[in-house]
Amino acid sequence: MRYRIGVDIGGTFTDCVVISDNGAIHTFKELSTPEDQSIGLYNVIKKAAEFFGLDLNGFLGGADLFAHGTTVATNTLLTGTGAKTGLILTKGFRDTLEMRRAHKDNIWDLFLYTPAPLVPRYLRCGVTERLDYLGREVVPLNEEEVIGICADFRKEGVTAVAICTLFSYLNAAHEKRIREIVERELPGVFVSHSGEVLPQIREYERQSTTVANAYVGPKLTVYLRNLEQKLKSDGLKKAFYVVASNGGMMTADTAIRHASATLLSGPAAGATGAVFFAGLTGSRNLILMDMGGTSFDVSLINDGEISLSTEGEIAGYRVAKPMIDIHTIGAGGGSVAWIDKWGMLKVGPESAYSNPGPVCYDRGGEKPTVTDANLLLGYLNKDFFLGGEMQINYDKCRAMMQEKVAGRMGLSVEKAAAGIFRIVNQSMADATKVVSVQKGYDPREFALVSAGGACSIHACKIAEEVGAKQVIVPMAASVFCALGMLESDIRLDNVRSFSGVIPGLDLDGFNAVIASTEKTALAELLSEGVQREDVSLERYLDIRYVGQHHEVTVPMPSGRAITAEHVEEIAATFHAAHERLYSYSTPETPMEIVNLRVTGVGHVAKTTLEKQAAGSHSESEAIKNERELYFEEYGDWRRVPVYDRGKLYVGHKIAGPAVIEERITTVVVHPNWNARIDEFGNIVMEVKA
Amino acid sequence: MSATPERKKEFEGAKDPITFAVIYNRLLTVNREMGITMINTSISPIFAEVHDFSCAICDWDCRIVSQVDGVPSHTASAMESVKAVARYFGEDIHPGDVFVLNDPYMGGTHLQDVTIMKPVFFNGRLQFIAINRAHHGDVGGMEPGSYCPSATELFHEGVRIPPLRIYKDNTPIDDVINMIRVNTRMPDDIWVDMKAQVASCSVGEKRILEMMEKYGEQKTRETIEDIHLYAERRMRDEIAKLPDGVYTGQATLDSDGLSDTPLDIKVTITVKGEEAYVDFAGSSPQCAGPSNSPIANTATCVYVAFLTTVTTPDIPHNEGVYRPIHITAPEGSIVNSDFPAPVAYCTLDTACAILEACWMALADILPDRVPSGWNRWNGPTVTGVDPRSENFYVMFGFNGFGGAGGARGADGRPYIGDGIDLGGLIAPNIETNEVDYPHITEFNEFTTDSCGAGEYRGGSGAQYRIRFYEGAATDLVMFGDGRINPPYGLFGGKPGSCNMAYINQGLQGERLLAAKGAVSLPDGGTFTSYPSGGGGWGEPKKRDAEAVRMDAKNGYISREAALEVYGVALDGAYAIDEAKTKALRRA
Repeated sequence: MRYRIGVDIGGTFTDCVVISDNGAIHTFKELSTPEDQSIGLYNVIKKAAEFFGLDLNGFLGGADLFAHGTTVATNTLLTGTGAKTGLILTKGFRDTLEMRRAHKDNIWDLFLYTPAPLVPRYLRCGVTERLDYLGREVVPLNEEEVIGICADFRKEGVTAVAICTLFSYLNAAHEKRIREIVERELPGVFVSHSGEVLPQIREYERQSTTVANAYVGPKLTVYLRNLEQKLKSDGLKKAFYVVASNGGMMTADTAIRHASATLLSGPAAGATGAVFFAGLTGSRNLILMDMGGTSFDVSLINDGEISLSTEGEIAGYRVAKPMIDIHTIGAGGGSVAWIDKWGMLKVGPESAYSNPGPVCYDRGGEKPTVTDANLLLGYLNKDFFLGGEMQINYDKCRAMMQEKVAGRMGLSVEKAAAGIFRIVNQSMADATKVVSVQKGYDPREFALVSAGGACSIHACKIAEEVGAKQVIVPMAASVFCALGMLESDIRLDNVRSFSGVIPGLDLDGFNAVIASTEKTALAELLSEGVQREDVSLERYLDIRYVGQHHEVTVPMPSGRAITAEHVEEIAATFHAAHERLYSYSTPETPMEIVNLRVTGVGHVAKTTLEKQAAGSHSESEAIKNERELYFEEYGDWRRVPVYDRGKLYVGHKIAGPAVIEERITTVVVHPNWNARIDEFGNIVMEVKA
Repeated sequence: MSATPERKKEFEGAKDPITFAVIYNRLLTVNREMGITMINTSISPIFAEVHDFSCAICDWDCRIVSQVDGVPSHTASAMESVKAVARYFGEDIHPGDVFVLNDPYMGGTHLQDVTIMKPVFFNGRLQFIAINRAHHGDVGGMEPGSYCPSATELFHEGVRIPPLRIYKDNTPIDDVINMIRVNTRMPDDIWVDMKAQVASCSVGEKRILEMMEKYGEQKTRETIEDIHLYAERRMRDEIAKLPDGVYTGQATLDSDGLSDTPLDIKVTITVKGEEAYVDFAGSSPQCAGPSNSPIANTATCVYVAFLTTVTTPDIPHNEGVYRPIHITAPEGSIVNSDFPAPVAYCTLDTACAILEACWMALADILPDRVPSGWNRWNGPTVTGVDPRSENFYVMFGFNGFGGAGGARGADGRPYIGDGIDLGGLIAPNIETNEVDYPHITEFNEFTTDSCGAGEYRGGSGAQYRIRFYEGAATDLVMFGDGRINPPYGLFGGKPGSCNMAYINQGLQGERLLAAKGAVSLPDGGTFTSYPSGGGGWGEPKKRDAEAVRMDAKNGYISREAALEVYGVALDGAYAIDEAKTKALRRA
C-alpha cells in the first residue's frame, strides 16, 4: 500500500490523516502539546503506526509524503516569545516600525493599546547608505558602521537580525552586503533581509514583515530542523512539507527562510480542507466558516483558488506576505450577551472563554453566552452535551438568561435567546460579507462550508442573511485541515517590482523581467524536490489606474511571451476586476503595472476518495429521538427529529426542521432547509424550493 | 449651529430591541464599506494613502445617523451640508441625483473639503443621504494647494461651491462639473477623485437599499428614531455624571500669520444636570487671515472634545449625541466668523486650539480621561513642476508628524499627528512619496526630548528633512501653528516641544520659517521640520524609574533630561544609580 501522512496541530487536538492511493482515509487524534508540538505529533503518528500494525520506522519509511501544519510561528508572535531581534536600516529612519505610519485602528479611543514594536529602539540601528527611487546608489554603504552595529548586537545578546533599507526592492546590493557582514560577524544568528523576504515597495510593510520573519525564525528553525531530523532518523525517506499561509506546501528549508509565510499555516490548512471536500461535491466557489469558542473565522475560495491578501495583520503586527484572506471577529460560543446601561442588546466582545465558560458549564460563569442561548433554544442537547461528556446546569443557565438579559428587556427567555442567536448570526454574516461582498464576490454564488463544533447550528441562518443557497458540513470535519493539506500543491510566491504603463508597455523589457522571475521560481521549485513535469508557473500582475495608490491583482496569460494581444487581454481583465470591486471602471484611463507576481506550483498527485456505499436502511432508522427546538420562523417551539449522524448514509434526505448530532458537532437543519448526505458522507443543506 | 428641534420623546428601550441592534450594526458596516471604496479608487495620496476624508449617512431629516469612518474634524459638520442641500432644493431632489458643496458659510468647512451627497430613495420617498467629504489637493485660490497665507477674504481661497446638483439620473452633468474643474489647478485629479467619492456614496446607497428591502420603511424609520434617542440618552447620562459647575479653558494660537497678534480661544463649559452649555465669550474677534472658524466647524471641535473624554469610544456618533450640548459663540469672533472672512486653517490650527481649550476645561472634572496637549500642524504644502515628468504637483507634508499628549496611565503615541485629527491621518511611506514627488528624504525619526516630560510622558515628534531635486521649482506654504505655544502639560506634566521648521538648515541661505507663510525654496534646497512632541501628564519625578531608564537608553529622552527633569541618574551603561536617584527624587 502506498500512502501519505498529514499531521495538523490545532489548539486542542493534533490530527493525523493517512490517505492511501486507493482513496481510503484513516484518521487519528491526540491531545496537542503546546509546550512542544512535536510530542503530540509523535503521539498521534505512533497511534497510526500501531493501527497499521507497523513500527514507527516501517510506517514513516513507507510514506510517500509527510505534510505538516504548525502553529509554532503564530504562537511565537502571539505570545511575544520570539528572538531578541536587531534591525539594521537606512540611517535617519530608525523609527519606521514604531511609527506604524501614524495609523490607529480606533481614533476615538485615546487609550487604545498599541503593541510594542518587535524590536526596541536601541536595537534599531541606522547605517549610512542610500538608494534613490530608481534604485540607484546615492550614498555608498558604510561597512565599518555595520561592523560596529554587529558588535553592539553581540553585547546585547541579539539572536536574530532583520535588514531593511530604503528601495532595496529595486536593488538589494546594500542589503546583501550587510547580510554578508552580519553573517560573518555574528555566526549562528538568524538573518532576514527584506529583498529576499518581500521585495516590494512600501518600506513600513516590507520592514514589518521582515522583522516578523526574523523574530519568529529562530524558534521555527529549531522546531522544524529537530522534527525533520527526528522523522528522518525514524525512517522518513520522502519529502517533509510544511503548510504555508497561502495554502500551499513548502519544504522545511524554505519555511525557515520565509518563516513569516507560515504565520497563517493553521487557517490556510483549513481552507485547503474546504477546497478538497467541496471539490468532491463539485463546488468551486466556497466560503469557509469556522466558529470556535471565542472567534469566528471566514475565508473565501473562488473557482477552487484560496483568496489571498497582502493586507494582513497578526497580533497587531503588519505582515504583507500573500496570506489566506481571513477575516476574524470576536464572536464565538463563549461570546457574552449583555444589555448595556441604556438597553441595547450586545453580543461580545467579551468572552467567557472556557474558564469560567458559559453559564451552563457550571464552572462559576454567570454571564449568558451564545452557547447558553443555543442550549436554551434546544439547538444544543442538554442531555448529550459534548457527546454526553459534560454535565451541564440547565436551570442555572435559564435563570441567568432571565436575570441578565430577558428580564431587563421585558422578553421571555426564549425570545431573548433567539435575539442573541439573531445578533450573533448577523455579526457572522457581516464578517462573511467582508471577504465576499467587499471583495466583489456575490455570496449568492457561493456555498458555505461550516466547520467547528457549533458552526452548523448557525450556518443556515448565516446563509439566509447573505443569500447563499447551500451549506456543506464536511464529513470528518474534525480532520478537515490534515486531510486538505495532503491534497494541496507546493506553492511558492515570488514578487518583483516592475513599473510599466499600458498603453505603451515595453514588451521586451516586460518579458525579460517575467523570464528572470520565472527562472528564479523554477529553480526554487526544483530545489524543493519537484519534478520539472509537475511544475506550472502562474503569473499575476498588481495593476492600477495611473495615479491610484492601491492595486488589483489580476491573472495574466502564462507559459509564453506576452504579446500586444495579451496586453489587451490583461487590460480587459483589470477593467472587469475594478468594476467588480468598486462598481466602476474607466477604460480610457492608462494603467500602471506595479508588481509582477509569479507563483511556482509543484503539483502533487491527487487522491480519488472512496465513495460510500449506500446503507441498507432508510434515514428514519437514524432517528434517535425527538426534542423541542425554538424557531423564530414560528415564534414558537417545534418538536423535531434528532438524527444520529453515524447512521446516516449516502442518499439519505432530511427535511428541516431537524437536528443531526454526533459527538462534538451539532447540525441544525432550519425550517426553510433540507439536508442530504452525499456520496462522500458530507451533509449538504439546501434552501427548500 | 442651527437649533436642533427639542424632542420630548425619551428613549424607553426600543420596541423591537433585536432589530434595533441589527440595524444599528448594519449601518456601521455600510459606513465602513463606503470608506474602503474611497481608499481603493481615489488617485490623490491624500485619500488613498493618508485617508483625509470621511463617510457618513444622514437620515431624511438631515440628521447624521452613522459615522464611523474618517477624520474627526469632518464629524457633525457634514450634517450642515445636507441641510443646505435640503433647504436649497426642497422637493427637487430625485433618485439618481448627486449633490456637491464646499462653501464654509453654507455648510462646508474649508474650501478644500468637498462634500458629495447622494440621496437614497425607497418607496418613492427620500430616506437617507450617503455622504463623502474629502479634502482635495487644490480648489484654486491664490496658492497651489489652496492654503493661502495672504488671503483676507474667502474669495481668495478658491472656488466656492454652493449646493449644486452634479449628477442627474446617475449621469454626470458635465457642464456644471467643468465649472468646478476649470477653477482648480488639477482639473483631472479633482474629477477622478470626485468620482471616487460618488462611487463610495453609491456603495452606501446600494447597501442601504438592501437593508430597507429587508426591514421595510416603517421599521427602519422607527429604529432610526430609537438610535438617535439611545445615543442622546447615553450622552445625557454621561454629562449627568459630571459635577454641576462652570469650567473654563483657554488655548492660544500663535497668530493668523498676517500679524503677530496671538489669538485666544476661551471656553466656558457649564454643566447643568444632563446638559452642557459651551460658550466662547471672550475669544478673539475674527482675524484678517485664514484662521477663522465658522460656527459649524467650531461645534464639531466641541463634539470631538466630548466624544473623546466624556463618553467611551463605543457611543454612536449621530445627531442624538449632540442634542444635550448647546454651543454659543459671539458673532464675528474667531470661532464664529462672518462671511467672507477666510477660513482655510479652521480645520487644523484653529480646530486644534478649540479642542485644546475644551479639553482643558474638562480636565479638572475628568482627570482620568483628558489627555495633555497634542501636536499642532507643522507641515507645509509644497508645489512645483516635477522635472522628471514636467507635471505640476501638490505635495502635502504628511510625514514628520508630532506626538500625542500623555494621559493618566498611558504615554502619548509618538508620531501621530495633530490633535484634531486624533491619528486619523496615515503617513505615506517614504518610498511611495519619493516616487510621487521630486525629492529625497534625509531623515524621518523621533527627535530626542521632544516629548513633554511627565509621569506619563508625551509621544515623540519626528524630525523630518527633505531635499528637492534641482529644477523642481519649489514653492512652499506653511500653514501650521505651535511655534510659540507648545502642547500643554497637565497635573505637573511639562509641555511638549515647540514646532520648528527651516529651509536650508545648516546650508547656505538657512532660514527659520514662520508657522504660516509662503516662501520659494532655493533650487535643490531642503526643508526641515521639528514637530512638537505631546505634553506630559503628572509629575515627571513620579515616572517609574525603569521606564525613564529605558526612555534614555532608547533615546526618546536624553540622559540629561533623565537626570534633571525625571531625577533618574544613569551610568554609562544605562544602569540606574539608585542612591543618587533616590536623593534626586526626594527633592
